[in-house]
Amino acid sequence: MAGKLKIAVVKFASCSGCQGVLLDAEEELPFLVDNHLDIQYFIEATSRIGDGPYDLALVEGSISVPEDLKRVKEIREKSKIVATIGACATTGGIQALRNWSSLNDFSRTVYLNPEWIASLDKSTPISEHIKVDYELNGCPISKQQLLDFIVSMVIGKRPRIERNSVCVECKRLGNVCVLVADKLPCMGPVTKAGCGALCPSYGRDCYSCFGPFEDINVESLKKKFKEIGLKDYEVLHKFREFTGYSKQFREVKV
Amino acid sequence: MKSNQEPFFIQKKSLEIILSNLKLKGYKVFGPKLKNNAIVFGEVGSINDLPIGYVDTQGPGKYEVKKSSESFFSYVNGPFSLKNFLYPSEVDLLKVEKKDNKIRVLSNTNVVEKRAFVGIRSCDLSALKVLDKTLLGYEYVDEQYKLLRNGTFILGVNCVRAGENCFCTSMNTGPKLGDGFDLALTEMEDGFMLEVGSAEGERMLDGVELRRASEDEVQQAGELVERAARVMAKKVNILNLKNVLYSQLTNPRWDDVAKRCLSCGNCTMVCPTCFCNDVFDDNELKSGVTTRKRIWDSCFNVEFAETTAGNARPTIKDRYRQWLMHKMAYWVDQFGTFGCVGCGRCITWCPVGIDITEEVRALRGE
Ligand code: SF4
Ligand code: SF4
Ligand code: SF4
Ligand code: SF4
Repeated sequence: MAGKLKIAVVKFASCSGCQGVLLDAEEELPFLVDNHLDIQYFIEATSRIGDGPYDLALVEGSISVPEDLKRVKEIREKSKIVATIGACATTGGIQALRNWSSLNDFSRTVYLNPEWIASLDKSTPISEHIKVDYELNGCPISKQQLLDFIVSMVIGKRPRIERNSVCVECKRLGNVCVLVADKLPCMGPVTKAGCGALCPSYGRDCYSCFGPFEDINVESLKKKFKEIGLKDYEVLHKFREFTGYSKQFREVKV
Repeated sequence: MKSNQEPFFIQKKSLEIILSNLKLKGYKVFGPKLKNNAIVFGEVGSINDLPIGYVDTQGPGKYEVKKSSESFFSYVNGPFSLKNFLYPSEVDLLKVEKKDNKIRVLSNTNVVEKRAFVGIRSCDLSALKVLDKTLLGYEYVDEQYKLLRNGTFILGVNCVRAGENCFCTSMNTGPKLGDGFDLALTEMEDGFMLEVGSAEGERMLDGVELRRASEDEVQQAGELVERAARVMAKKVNILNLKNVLYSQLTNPRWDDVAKRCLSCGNCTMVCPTCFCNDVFDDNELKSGVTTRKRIWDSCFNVEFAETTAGNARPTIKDRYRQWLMHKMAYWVDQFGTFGCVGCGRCITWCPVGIDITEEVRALRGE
C-alpha cells in the first residue's frame, strides 16, 4: 500500500453520533489506524490538528450558522474525496424541522437576548453548498456501511452503497412485513437501504432515518397510509422526521 | 418420481411419527410456523409447532391470520417459500486469503445438512421445478443451489382451501401436487390421505399405522381438492399470453400501474422463482480475507439496469414492465415455462396491493 490515507473527520451542526459510530469500531479502528489511515483531524478522537490536504474528508452535520458556509468550502478545497455521513449532513437533519417555521419566533421564545443568536434561516444538507462525492445515510450511519466504505477507499475500489429500498433488505432477512401484516405506517418502501432493516426487524415501522432513495413514489405510499387509518397530519409527520428536508421529502404535502 | 402405489389413509396424529422418523434419519425439519402474525417456515420439532387451526385471510396488500378451525393445513402460503432455503438471500461464493503477498483460496468446507420441508404446496413444488430448470438445467449450473437442493425431502400438502390471491389453476400448477414430492397429504375430516412419491418417502413411514384408503376416501379427497380449484377466485388467461403481452409494450396501462408502484421490490423478493442476484466482494483488511458474496437483487432496484451508457430502465414504469413481462412472457422464451406459478405472494405482500392478475387482464383488454 502506497502510504496511508490522510483522513479528516469534520463536524457541522450535529449531535456527533455519526462520529461516535466510527469511534465505536473498537475492533477495527486500531488496525486501520496502524496500517492504513493517517488521522489528520478528528476532534472527537485526537487533539492533533492537521491542516490538510486530506485524501478523504468525512463530513458530519448540516449547514446551520453563517461560519459554516465558509468552512465547508475550505474542507472541499482541501480534500480529494468528500463523503457526507448521517442524516444531518445528507438531508439537513432533525434541526431542519425549523425550515418550516420562523427562526425568529424560536429565538425569541428560547433566548433572553435573541439578537445574540446568529443562525441561518434554514438548516441545509452539505450537498447544497459543495460537491459531495459519496453519501452515507442514517441517523446514525451504519457502522458496517462506514467500515466498508473506508476499506473501499483504502484499497481503491468502488464502494457498495445500495440505492434500493429498505424493503429489499427486510425481505432478505426474512421479516414479516409490518405494513402488510400489522398495518404499521412503515417508510421502508421509500427509504434507502443500508440500515439492515433495523426497525422492521424489531417489529416496528421504519421512520426513514436513511432518507429517500432516488426514484420514490410518495403519492402511492401516502394513499396506503391513509388507507390504514392515518390522518393527514400523521401522514405528513411520517415524511417530516430525521430526513424531512431531503429533496424528495421536503416537497411532500397532504 | 410418482409411485404407482394406492394411497393410504392415516390418523392426523401419525404425522408426529413421520416427523420423528425424518429427524431420526438425520433431516432437519422445517415447516409452517406462526411468527409475527404470519405463517412462515421454521424448524418444527413436533406437530405441536405447526399452526394448527390457524386460517389466513389475504387480499391485495393485506394479510391476516387467526385461529378459527381445527385443521392442520387450513392456511395457504405465507411470505416465504423454498427459495429462502435453497437459494438463500445471502451466500458466500468464495473466500480468498492474502498473506505475505501470497494468495490462497480457502476451501469452502460447509457441510450441508439434509433438510426436509413439511407442508409444501403445489405452487411451490412447481416453483422448485422452475428454479431447477433455471439454475441446473443448462450448461452452467449453480453449484450453490445444487448443493442445497440435493437430498431435499418434500412432504407436500394438497390444498383443500384456495387462498384469496391464489391462481394456480390458471397457471396449471395446482392445487393438486404434481410429481416431485416424497410424501403428500390431503387433509380430510378425520385423517390424511397419504401418497408416497419416492422410496425415501416410504422409508419415513416406519411405525405409522397405515391402511389403504377406500375408494370412497380417495374420491372424497379428490373432490376436496377439486372444490378448492373450482372456487379459486383469481384467474389469468394464459391463452397466447406471451404474444399478447409482446404486442402491448406501449399500452397506457403501464403508466397507470407506475402511478401505484413503489418500486420497492417486495414482489420480486417474495416470488418463489425470482433469482436475480448481485455479487460483490467483502474485503477484510486485518485478516486479509476477501469473501465474494451473492445477495438477492431485484429488477425494481434503480441501479439494476444501469450501465456506463446510462440506465436502461430509468423509470418505475420501465421496471414494473420488466417484472411483469419477465414473469409472463420473456421467461417463456428463456426457459420454456412461465416464471409465475400463481402463488399470489406478490399480490398479498405488495404494500399497495398491485395485483398481477388484474394488470394482465387490463393489458389484454379483458
Ligand atoms: S416491514 Fe417495512 S421495510 Fe419491511 S417490507 Fe414491509 S414496508 Fe418494507
Ligand atoms: S409472480 Fe407473483 S403469483 Fe406468480 S409466482 Fe411470483 S409471486 Fe407468485
Ligand atoms: S422479474 Fe425481475 S427480479 Fe424476477 S427474475 Fe425477472 S428480472 Fe429478476
Ligand atoms: S408491484 Fe408492489 S411490491 Fe412490486 S415493486 Fe411495485 S409496489 Fe413494490
